[in-house]
Amino acid sequence: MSQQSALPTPIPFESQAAPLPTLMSAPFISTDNVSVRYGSHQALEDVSLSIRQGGITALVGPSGSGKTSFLTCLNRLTDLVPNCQVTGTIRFGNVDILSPHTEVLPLRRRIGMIFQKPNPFPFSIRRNLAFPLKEHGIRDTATIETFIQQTLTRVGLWEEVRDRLDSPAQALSGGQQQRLCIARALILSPEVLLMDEPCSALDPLSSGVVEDLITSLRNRYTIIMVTHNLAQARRIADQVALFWIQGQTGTLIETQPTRDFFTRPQHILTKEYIDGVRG
Amino acid sequence: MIWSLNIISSPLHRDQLLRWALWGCASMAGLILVFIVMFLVLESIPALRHLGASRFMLDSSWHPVEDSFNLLPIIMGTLLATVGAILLAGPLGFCSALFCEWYAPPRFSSLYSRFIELLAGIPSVVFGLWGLVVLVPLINHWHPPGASLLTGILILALMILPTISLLAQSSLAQVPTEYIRGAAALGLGRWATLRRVIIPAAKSGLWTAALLATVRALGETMAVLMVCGNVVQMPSSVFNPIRTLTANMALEMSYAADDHRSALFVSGVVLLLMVSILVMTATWTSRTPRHV
Amino acid sequence: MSNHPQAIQDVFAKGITCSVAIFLMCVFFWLLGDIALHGLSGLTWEFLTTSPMNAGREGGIGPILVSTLLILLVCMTAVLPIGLGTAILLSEFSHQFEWAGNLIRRSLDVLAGVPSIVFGLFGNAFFCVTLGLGFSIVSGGLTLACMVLPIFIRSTEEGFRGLPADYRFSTAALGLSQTSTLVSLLIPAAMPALLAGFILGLGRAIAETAALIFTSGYVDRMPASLWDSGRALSIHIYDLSMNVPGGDTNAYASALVLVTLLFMINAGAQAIGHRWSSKKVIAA
Repeated sequence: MSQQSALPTPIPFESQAAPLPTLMSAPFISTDNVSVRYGSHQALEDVSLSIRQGGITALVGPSGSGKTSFLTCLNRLTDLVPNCQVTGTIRFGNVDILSPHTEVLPLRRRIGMIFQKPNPFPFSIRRNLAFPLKEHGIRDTATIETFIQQTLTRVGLWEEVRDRLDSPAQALSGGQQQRLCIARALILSPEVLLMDEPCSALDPLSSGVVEDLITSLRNRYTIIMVTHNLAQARRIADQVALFWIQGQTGTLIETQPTRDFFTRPQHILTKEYIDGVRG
Repeated sequence: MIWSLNIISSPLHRDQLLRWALWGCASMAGLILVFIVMFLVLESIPALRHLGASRFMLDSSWHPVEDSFNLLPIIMGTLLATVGAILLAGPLGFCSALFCEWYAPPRFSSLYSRFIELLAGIPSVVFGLWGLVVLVPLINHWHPPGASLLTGILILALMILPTISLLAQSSLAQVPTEYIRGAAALGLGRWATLRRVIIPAAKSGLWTAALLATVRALGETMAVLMVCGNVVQMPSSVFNPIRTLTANMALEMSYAADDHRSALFVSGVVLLLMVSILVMTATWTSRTPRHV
Repeated sequence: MSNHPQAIQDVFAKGITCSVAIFLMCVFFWLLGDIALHGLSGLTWEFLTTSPMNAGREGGIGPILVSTLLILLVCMTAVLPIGLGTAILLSEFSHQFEWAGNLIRRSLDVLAGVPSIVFGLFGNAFFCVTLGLGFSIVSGGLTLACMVLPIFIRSTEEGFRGLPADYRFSTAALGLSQTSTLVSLLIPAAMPALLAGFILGLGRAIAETAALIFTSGYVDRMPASLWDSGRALSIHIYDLSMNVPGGDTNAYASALVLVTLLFMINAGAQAIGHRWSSKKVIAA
């Protein structure tokens, strides 16, 4: 039962976030009362958040506030965690992500993920990119080579590695590895990119390069990014959502377009977090 | 709506088949022990039914031809040989581990360690051969006959020594360096550090090593068969020949019939019980958190 | 300084430990030297290729080496798929039924301690009698497989557990199936541990005697097929030293062959251990 969807049909805007002053864009991904529980520990409670198509949404907040848990729900990576229960609804276009009828593998092709620590496979650079393509049915060598070149160019690695595509990917520098991981996700032509603190394991120089790359991907992809770095969120995000821990459980405090988030925060916690008093 | 997502949902047919195949393999592996217990018990039921359990302890001796089925002298033989071997090999193996981990110069230590690994793999028949041709005449020279409990203890000790040494060495190696540094900062000498800090910290690992070596000694067949003399009797001195449970089974199974054969399976069950208890204890001690 | 008693203790302890180590080395060299000395004279090319004659006092061990090889082949052919499957299940898939996984692990722990003679009796009752395979190389090989499985599974499972958890997450995030992840990524990455376990198991199998006496038989001629009875090297040594007067010379020579084979297997294992730390890229 393949659930291929084109552009989602426009749905009335959810009023969880403060009203958008400008565009009334249809939510691309909408979550409703999403909670995540690991065994007996309630990690995330009642998150309702809408995300527009295109643009970068930053999820910020202290450690343990459930940001990563929320992120991993979106591509059903929570399935891999033992004893994990996710409740609520998540709609991606007209796909109900949490439904047991949803085919997870095609879903994960449309929603890609980049992890905090760059984790290229112990293969050559070429094979790192060819492997996912082949597994998804693209076997023609010429096509694969074209895709590899296009994607590496897209992430700015082509000139750096074109002569050593068969050398081990794990021999690349941290920043290069992370860009390779982004390329690996991009080569499947996803619509959404989930990023879990993509720059935090990198040195400042590489971090800047990766950040520039992410910004350049903005229009073509919908990017949801967890970050600890408020300044980074301010720089590149279109929408910011603040998560916080209450008791032992994470929850969503506030979400707004970036400018409003930083200049006119509605919640006292948000104001304190921005001012650096808390967190 | 609650979606319980601890099912690893993978819609691909392949993955489902894979999981079935893997559970099949694991079940086969897990069932082996069940089958062994089942067969042993099934085969030993006739003897228990015809002879009754008490005869295995109260008959005059083990002499199946004359309808005598007392296992106690043989069990005693097994226990004495095993306990003797562990009492001898335990301290020696521990010293060997200490030497390797603590006192030896680094390059020599790795050579020594690899040598011990080699020894751990020497087959029991080879130990038995050497024991038979070299050790037995030697002990015979000292106090006839040569094939005796003592020879069995010596050979068994030699066989389990590498095991103890390797296991003890790895548990000594796992003691956190912070403990050692802490002791040094307190001005403790090497021996004092060992005695007061390292050994207590490695205690559970050392116990596990001793238990697993005992299991090995208990189950040893060929070497004891070749050097213990195989006489069924309660030994009055270490120079008396004895017979162990394992040797008994190996020797008599080929010609045993009916109740005799069934009685041998009873001794197999006894052996399996002893081994299971030891292994379970070893599993438990290896998990006990190290409280120094 | 009151360090004095400590210093004496230290010297004492060091002295005892080193003497013990030296003593042990001497004893083992004595043993190995004895084998080598008495066995070397009998070790000729003819010995390795001709058949035993006169109950083994004369002639060689040709057919016996063949039988041993065949038994090992049957054993490892059975161990590899079942062991690999079990190890993968225990490390990757048993989270949902943790109790079952633990039960299997405990069962394998006990299995590792079961005496070889008990395996021999079981093999006889199950493979030879119940399954009707009789005294054959197949019976012997399968019985050995039961003994080797716990060793192989332990090492392989550890290998899989040692792989970075990231691998499973990143392949899942790319929408790849578990089967492809296993085949293309995890198994090749865990190969060193797999090989180490395989070799350890091989070493254990080749040294086994008691389990084979009642399963693969005593016949010392060249086996006609896998269903034929065959004598393994360890049994030959046992027979020559215990049952054949005057068989000592050939027993020693056979023992030397066995020990040499084991040393080669052990050396192989250590060489792989070396490659493990330097292996970085898995070829496409």
